[in-house]
Amino acid sequence: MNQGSLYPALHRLEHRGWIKADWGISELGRRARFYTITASGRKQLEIEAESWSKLSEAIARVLRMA
Amino acid sequence: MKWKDFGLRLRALLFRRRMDEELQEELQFHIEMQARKNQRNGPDTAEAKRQARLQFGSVVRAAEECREVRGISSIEILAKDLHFALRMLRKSPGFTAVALLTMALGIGANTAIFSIVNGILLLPLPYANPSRLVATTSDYPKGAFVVMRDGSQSMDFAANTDSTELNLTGLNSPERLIGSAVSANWFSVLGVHPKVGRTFHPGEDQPGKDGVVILSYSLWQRRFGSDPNIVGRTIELEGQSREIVGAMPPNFTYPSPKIELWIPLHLDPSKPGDYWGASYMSVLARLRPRVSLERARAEFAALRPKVVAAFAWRMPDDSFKNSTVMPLQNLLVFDVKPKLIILLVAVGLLLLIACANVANLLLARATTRQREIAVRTALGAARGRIIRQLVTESVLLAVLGGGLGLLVAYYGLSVLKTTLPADTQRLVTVAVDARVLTFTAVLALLTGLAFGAMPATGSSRVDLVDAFKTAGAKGQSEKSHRLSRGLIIGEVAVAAVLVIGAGLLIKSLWSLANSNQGYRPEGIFTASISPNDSFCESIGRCQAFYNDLLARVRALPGVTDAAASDGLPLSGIWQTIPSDIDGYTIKPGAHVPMLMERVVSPEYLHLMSIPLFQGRAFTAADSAPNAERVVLISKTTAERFWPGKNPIGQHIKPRWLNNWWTVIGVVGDVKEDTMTTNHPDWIDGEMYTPYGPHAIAGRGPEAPPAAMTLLARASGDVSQIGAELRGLVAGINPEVPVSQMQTLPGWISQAVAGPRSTASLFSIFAGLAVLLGAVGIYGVISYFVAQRTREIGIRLALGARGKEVLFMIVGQSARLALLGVGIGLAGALLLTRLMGSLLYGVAPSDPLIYTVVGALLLMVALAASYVPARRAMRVDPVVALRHE
Repeated sequence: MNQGSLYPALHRLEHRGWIKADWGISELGRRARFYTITASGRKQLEIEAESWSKLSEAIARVLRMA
Repeated sequence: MKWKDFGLRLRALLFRRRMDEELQEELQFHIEMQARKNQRNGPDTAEAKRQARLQFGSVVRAAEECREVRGISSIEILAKDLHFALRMLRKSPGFTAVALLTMALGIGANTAIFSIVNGILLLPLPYANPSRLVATTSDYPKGAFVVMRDGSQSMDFAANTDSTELNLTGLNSPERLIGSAVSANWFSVLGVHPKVGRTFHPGEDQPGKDGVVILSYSLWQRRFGSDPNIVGRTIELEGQSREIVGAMPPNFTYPSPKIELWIPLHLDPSKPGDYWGASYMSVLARLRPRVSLERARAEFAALRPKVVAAFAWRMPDDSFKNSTVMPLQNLLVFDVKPKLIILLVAVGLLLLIACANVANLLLARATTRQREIAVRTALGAARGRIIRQLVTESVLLAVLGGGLGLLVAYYGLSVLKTTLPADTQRLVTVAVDARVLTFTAVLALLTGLAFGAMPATGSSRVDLVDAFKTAGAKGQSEKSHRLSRGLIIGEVAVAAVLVIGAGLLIKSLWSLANSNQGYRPEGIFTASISPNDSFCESIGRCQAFYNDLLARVRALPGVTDAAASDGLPLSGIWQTIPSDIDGYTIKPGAHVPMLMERVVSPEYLHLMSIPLFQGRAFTAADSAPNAERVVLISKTTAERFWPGKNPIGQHIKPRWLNNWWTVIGVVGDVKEDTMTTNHPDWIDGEMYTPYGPHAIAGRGPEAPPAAMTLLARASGDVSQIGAELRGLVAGINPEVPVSQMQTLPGWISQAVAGPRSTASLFSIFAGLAVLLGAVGIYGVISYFVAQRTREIGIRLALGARGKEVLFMIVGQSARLALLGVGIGLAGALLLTRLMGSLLYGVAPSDPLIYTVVGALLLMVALAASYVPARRAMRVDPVVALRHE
C-alpha cells in the first residue's frame, strides 16, 4: 500500500467527525496539519475495538477447535 | 456527525480553491518529511525525494480521492459538463439551431396552451372562497329563483340575466349598453367588492326601490372619465332615472366580458308574464358553512316540485327534471373545456414529434462522436460518467430550448388570445404565471431527459476495438439505426393523426359555414335600432318611427330592400310564447306548447329569401291598426301540430290573451338558435307575427317590441350604409341609439368563431407537425446517405446508375413513411372519436380526409428525402472510395 492512501482515509474519518484536523506549526517550524481524535471518534474506536476483539476471539476459538 | 459532514461539504464547495491548496500543501508536506527521513538513511537529496515520491504513490490520485471524499465532485462535474456541453453546442451551430428551434416550438406551443388551460380551467375564480360557489345547470324565471331563495336552508341563492340591453340617454350621444340584471344579494353571494361606492342593498330588487345602477370599470372610465365622485349621480337608462351607487374594479366583468353595468332585478309577482316567463336567468348560490355539495344537491332536488308548482301556468311535471347544482367554475368552462383538452392533446403530440426529432439529431451526432467517446473511455472514463455528460448536454439543450420556448409562448399567447372567441370566459385574465413557468421548467427538463436518455445509453456502449479499427469511420450500430427509423415512423404517425384532426375540424367548419341556414345572408347589412321601451307605449308611435325609417333606408342609393325584425338568427333574442293551439290536446303531464315568435315587418321573409311553402306571406295591410290577427308558421311547426292536415286557417293564441291568431301560411325553417338547430329543445315551434299593434313583446298586452334590428339588402359597398343610417335615425329621433352595425355574413361568421378558432389553432399545430416531421426525415435520410457514401460509391463504381441509387434512397424513406402513415391512420381512427363533439357534418372516419392526408404525408416524406437522395446520386465514386 502507498503512503498516499493514508490521506483519503484521514479525510474520510474527518468527514465522519471521528477525528478533527487543525493547522499548526511543526517542530521544524513549518505549517502542518495535525489530526486529533474527537470524543465521538474515541467512542467509535471503542465500538470498533470491541467488535474487532469479538471477531478475533471467535476466529481464535475456531482455530483452536480445528 | 451529519452536521459536521454538511459543514465540511459546504466549506469545500465555497472555498474550493483554498481547500485544494491546503490539500496540496498537506500532501507535499508529507513527501518532504518522508524525503528528509530518507536522507538521514544515506542517499543524496534528489534520490531521497525520488524515493519519497515512490513511497507515496500518485499524488494526483490521492488528491482526487480526497476530493471525492469531500463530495463536491458532483457539482464540479456538472459545471465541467455544462462548460463542455456549451462548447460542443457552439461548435456545431447548424445542429444547435435546428434542435433549439424544434424545442422552442414544441415547448412554446405547450406553454402557451397550458397558460390558457391554467387561466381558464385551473385557477380558482377570483371571488371570495370560490370553491363554495355553485350554479344551477338550467336557467329559471324570476319567480322560480325567489322560491329557491326563500326555500333553501343549505344555500344562499342569487340570480343574474346573461345580458340585458339598456339605452343610455341624456348624455351627448345615445348608446346601447349591455348590462346584467341581478338579484340584490348577488354581489355579496359572489363575495366581490366595489372600487367605489357600494353594491346593492337587500330589497333593492323590489319594484319602486330598484332605481339604482352599478357601473363596470370600463364604462366608468369610458363615459365618466373615472370620476371619483360618480356615486350619487343620476343617469337615464331606458328612459328611467337610476342613481349610480358604485363602480366595480377592472377585473370584474361577470357574467361575461361584454357586461358594462348591473341593475337590480325587478321582482314583481303582480306581472306574472314577466315574473314567470319573460327571461330565464342564470341562478347561482353559495353553499352555507359545513354544507356539502351532496346535501345541497339533495335539497335542490327536493325543491324542484315546489318550483314547478309555483308557476303562474301549469308546467309539465318533469320540468327541470335533470337540473342540479354544480360547482360554478365547472359550469362556466363547460363549453370551452373539451376544446382546450383537444388542443392540449394536439400540442402534446407536437412535443412528441419535437422530441423525436431532437433525439434523432442527437443519435446521428452521437455516432459521429463515437471516436471521441472511445478516446475518453480508453482514458478511463466510466460508462456512467459518459452517459451523465451526454444527458447533461441534452438537458442543457432542452433548458435553452425551454427558455426560447417561453419567448414563443409569450408571443403565441397574445395570438391565441385574439384567435379564441372574445366572449370566452376568463380569457382576459389569462397570463404566464408562476405555475406556467414551473410547467415549462418541468417540461423542458423531462423532454431533455426523454430525448437525451436513449441516444446517450446507446452511444455510451462503445466497443473500443471496433471504434478505433474503423479509424473514425461512421459505423452506426444496427441498433441505433433501428431506433432512428422507429422515431421517424413514430413522427410520421403522430403528424398524420394531427393533420387528420385538423382536416376533420376544417371540413366541419366548412360544412357548418356552408350549411343551409334557411335564408340567404349575402348582401344584407344589419343594425340594431333601439328606442326606449317607453317610446313604444303609445300604440302607433313606434310603428310610425319604423315605417318612416324603413322608407328612408329604402331610398338610400344602392339599397334595394329593407326590413325589420325583433332579432337576428343566432342572436338568442326572440319572444317565447306559451301558447294555446286550437284543436291540439296537450298530453297528460306534458307542458304547454312553447312557440318562438319573430316579430317582423312584412318585407322580412322576402328580404331574407325564406321560402313560402303554403298560403300567403305578410302584406302591408297585416300591420295596419285594424288588421286581423295573422301568423306564419314554419314547416316543422306545421308538421308537428297538424300532421297530415292543412294548417292554413288554424288558430293559435298566447295563453294569457283571448284573441286567436289565424295561420295564413307555412314558411321554411330557419336555424335561429344555433347554426345546427332551429330552436332549443324546450321550444316546440316557430311563428312569425307582423310588426304592428297586435305583435307581442314580453308577457303583457299586445304591443310591438321597441328595439328592432334593421336589415337592408344592398348592392355594392355596404360599409357606407352605416354612416348614412346614423344620420337618418338621428334625423327622426336623436335619442335612439344605433348599434351593432355589421353585415349578416359577418354576423354569422362570428357565430362560428369558436369552431373556427379551434380549427385554425389545430391547423397551425398540424402544420408545425408536418414541418417538423419533414425536417426529421430530411435529417435522418441525409445522415443515412452520408454514412453510406462509401457503399454508394462502390455501387456506382460497379455500374449502378444514379437513378437506381436515387430510388434506393427515396424508397427507403417511402417505406418508413408508409409504415408511419399506416400507423397514423389507424391511430387517428381511434383518437378522432374523442373529437366527436367538435365535429359537424363529417364522420370521424371520413374516407376522403384519410386518403388525402395519407397521400399528402407520403409526398412530404418523399420530397424531404429527395434532396439527400439527389446528393447520393451525385456521389463521385473516386472521392467516396478514397474517402477512408
